Amino acid sequence: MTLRVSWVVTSIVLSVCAAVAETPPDACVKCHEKEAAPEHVSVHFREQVTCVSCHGGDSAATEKEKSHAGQVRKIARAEVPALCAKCHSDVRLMNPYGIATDQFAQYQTSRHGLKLAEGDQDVATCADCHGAHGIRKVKDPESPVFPKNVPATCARCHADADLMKRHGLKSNAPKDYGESVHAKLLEKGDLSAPTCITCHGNHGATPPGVRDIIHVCGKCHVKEQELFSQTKHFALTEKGEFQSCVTCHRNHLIRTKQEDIRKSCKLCHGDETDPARIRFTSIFATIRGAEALFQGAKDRVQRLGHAGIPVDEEEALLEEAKTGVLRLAPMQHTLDESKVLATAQEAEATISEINRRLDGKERAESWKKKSILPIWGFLLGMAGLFWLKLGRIKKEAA
Amino acid sequence: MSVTRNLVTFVRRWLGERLPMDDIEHFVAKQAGKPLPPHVSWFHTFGSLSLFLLGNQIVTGILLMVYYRPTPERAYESVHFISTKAAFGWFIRGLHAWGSTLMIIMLLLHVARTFLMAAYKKPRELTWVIGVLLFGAVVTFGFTGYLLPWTQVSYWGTTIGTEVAGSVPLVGPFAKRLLLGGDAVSGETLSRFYVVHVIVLPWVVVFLTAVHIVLMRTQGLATMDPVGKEVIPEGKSVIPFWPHHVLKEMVVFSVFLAIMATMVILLPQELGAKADPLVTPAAIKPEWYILPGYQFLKYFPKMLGLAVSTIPPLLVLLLPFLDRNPERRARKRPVCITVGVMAMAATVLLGIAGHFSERSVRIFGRAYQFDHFGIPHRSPEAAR
Amino acid sequence: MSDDPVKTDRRTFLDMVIFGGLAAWGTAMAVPTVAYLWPARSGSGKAASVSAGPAKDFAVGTAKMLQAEGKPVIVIRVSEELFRAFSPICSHLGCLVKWEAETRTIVCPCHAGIFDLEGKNVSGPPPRPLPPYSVAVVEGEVVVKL
Repeated sequence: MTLRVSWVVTSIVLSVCAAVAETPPDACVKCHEKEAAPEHVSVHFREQVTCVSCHGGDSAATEKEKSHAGQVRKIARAEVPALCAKCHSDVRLMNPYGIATDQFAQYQTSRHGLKLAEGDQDVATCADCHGAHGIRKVKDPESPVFPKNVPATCARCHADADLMKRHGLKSNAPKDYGESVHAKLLEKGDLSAPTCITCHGNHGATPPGVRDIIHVCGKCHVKEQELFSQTKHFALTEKGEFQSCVTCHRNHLIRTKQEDIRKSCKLCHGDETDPARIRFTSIFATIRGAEALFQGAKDRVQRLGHAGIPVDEEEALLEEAKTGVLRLAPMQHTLDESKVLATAQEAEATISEINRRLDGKERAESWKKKSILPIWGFLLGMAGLFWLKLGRIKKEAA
Repeated sequence: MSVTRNLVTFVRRWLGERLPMDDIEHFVAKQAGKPLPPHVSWFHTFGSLSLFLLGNQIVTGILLMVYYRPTPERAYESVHFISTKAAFGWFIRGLHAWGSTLMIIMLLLHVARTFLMAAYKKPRELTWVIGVLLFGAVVTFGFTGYLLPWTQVSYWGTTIGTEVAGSVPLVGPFAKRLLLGGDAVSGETLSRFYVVHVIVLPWVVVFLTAVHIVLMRTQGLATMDPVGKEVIPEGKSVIPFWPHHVLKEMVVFSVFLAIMATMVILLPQELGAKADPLVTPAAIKPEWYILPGYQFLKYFPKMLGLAVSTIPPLLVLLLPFLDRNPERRARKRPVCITVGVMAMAATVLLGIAGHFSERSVRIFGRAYQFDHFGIPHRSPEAAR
Repeated sequence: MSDDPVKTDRRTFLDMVIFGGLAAWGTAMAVPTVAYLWPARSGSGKAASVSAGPAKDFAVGTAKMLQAEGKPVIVIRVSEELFRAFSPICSHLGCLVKWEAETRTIVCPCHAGIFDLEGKNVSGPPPRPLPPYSVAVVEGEVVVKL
């Protein structure tokens, strides 16, 4: 039955497309210039989904009455998702493009979709994020849903204090995100950096529940999740007494600086004698120490490299040390000072190897410089001998 | 001792039966004992130091060629290998690189000495002309050698340098294409520059140097007497070339070598980053000895500039034919000396302007922005 | 030569010192030249290669980490015949990747980037594939060309 229906829908849409392809598209454009203007970049237009595909009417007719033919309409907000879904939920239609067809279903489960169903006209529908006319492919850098543009697109509503207040929501999320490491990566041009939709979902946008947070973050931070899952904090999370990742890192700010994390730790472990406090103090010190050592070695390699000393091998070792130091960040999620210390010691061993090699090179360099003295001694001696000889010859001649 | 003497006698007799040894010995003795005029001083050693540097460039150049590979894939890596892995490679490369700079300095001093003492006047006009050609060849040496390490600086320096050739109307684009072996600096350019640097120019320079020296030896060094009234040096005041002047030169040479070695050790030639045709580094400037000419071109519209810029070298080349004053003592030819010194000062000023142009510099705590023409402006943020 | 024996002696002594000095000078210049020409560890022209040991000691489905010319290299024996080598520096943030035998993938421990056997980035944040090196078995030895 459903198959039959979809078949009928498909053939209708296809025949519409076919009809459109044959008619000059500018029949509507004649009057609706404003709407038609952005269509030259539209992916729909290129695939022959035109005005009439959504708005109805007859684009072949040239008179207003005939072309509108009683069925042209402005599309109401609440109707938008279902209208887009007409094509976008059709497996047959979407298959060639490799576009998922569960978007409408996802949307219906999203906070946006649920509210829309309740009759809330403020929520985002398809067109609010993707645009209505002149819809571009997601991969197009100009598309509002291109990774780099997602935060700004969401912020259009979610940074609007009045709008958010009306719905009992906070409007600081976009601002907080802007200060996060995630946003910094995105600014640097890393398109894989997480945006709003990475955690909240796109079509099924909804805030993750407390118990889900660890899975949301764990999508990328695998090691952290694995190690965290073995700790007391995780057990507390299971009981609902701890908010896993966001307790320390916050949700949108994504704090990573030690001094910020330390403040979070102190919220529960403020007591000077608390063994946990002693432990995290020691873990932080170990990491700071290793990072400082690494930075020192890195600076030294760079300095000597600039001074003309070949440091290729040390640079390779530096990569190794960097991997070691980067492993420290996940390792601290174990909350186990001995494990952190062991990891740090591994990295420090590589760093001291780098320093040992550089010492040798610096010694060789200083020998090079010391060789200047004997060179001058010898050559000045020779100059003196020639001078002496010249004087003697002159004396003889006289 | 007697073994050595017997060996010498034997070789002498063996050669004597085959070659006109008497003539050769006579020639060598005459050349060695050739008296130099009494005014010959320490200033007369710049020429022989240039000759030494030419030898240094040839020997170190041959050694560098052993490991150098003139392809874009291997050029940078091979120079890197020379300066890091090959024993004393850094020293040999340093000698070659510093040698080229010092050679140009020595040649400039040599030219200045010749100019101030008016040694270019009749009958030594040809020696001067060949000398100027030699200077041009050495600058070309520097320009072609600059590209060979295939670093960012060398790649883009060459791009700018050849751009000048390309801006000549009509023949420019043609000449540039011929020079580059394509439309941009590429592997083809490297190949061409390499061939010119290691085959063409060495022969040209060695040949011209030989002619230059033969002319100098046959005509003898110029005295300070006016043209036509030169007194052939003789008597007690003359300085014999061998051993007096040679010993003097050895003294200078020893000290010079010590200075050069110090420069090589204390001021190593950095290799920098490998050439990347897709990334232009900021503030690329030609080498210092090209800067005055490069800056000079900026003050004229392209076509006029190139027409104008051929005038100074031409004037220098034809100097012996333009300056008809027979006097050699500086005090007796005030016009020529004034013009010459002013030209030298102008060249230095152009070089300085070129060095600072398009850069911002702090002088006595104030920031200055030097524009395209090398004119300083107070930086806007400092003025505020 | 002069007839005065004392004078002759003194002059020959000075001459001998000068000749000795010149000889020392010549030697001092010849030694670095010969040292320079003496073949160093690896030539400049020939593309360098590094050995990953004998092929028979290299189990199928395992990987080795090597260091060559200051660069790390990961070599994987995919099957009996097939070896692959890559630069293990992750194209994301530069951590060193690891071979995971169970899943037969190359995994970056830092942000869970996954590369397939071709070095192609198939999952996670890495933006580019791993740069490959060519591997060959030469006389029973696994050799990576750099």
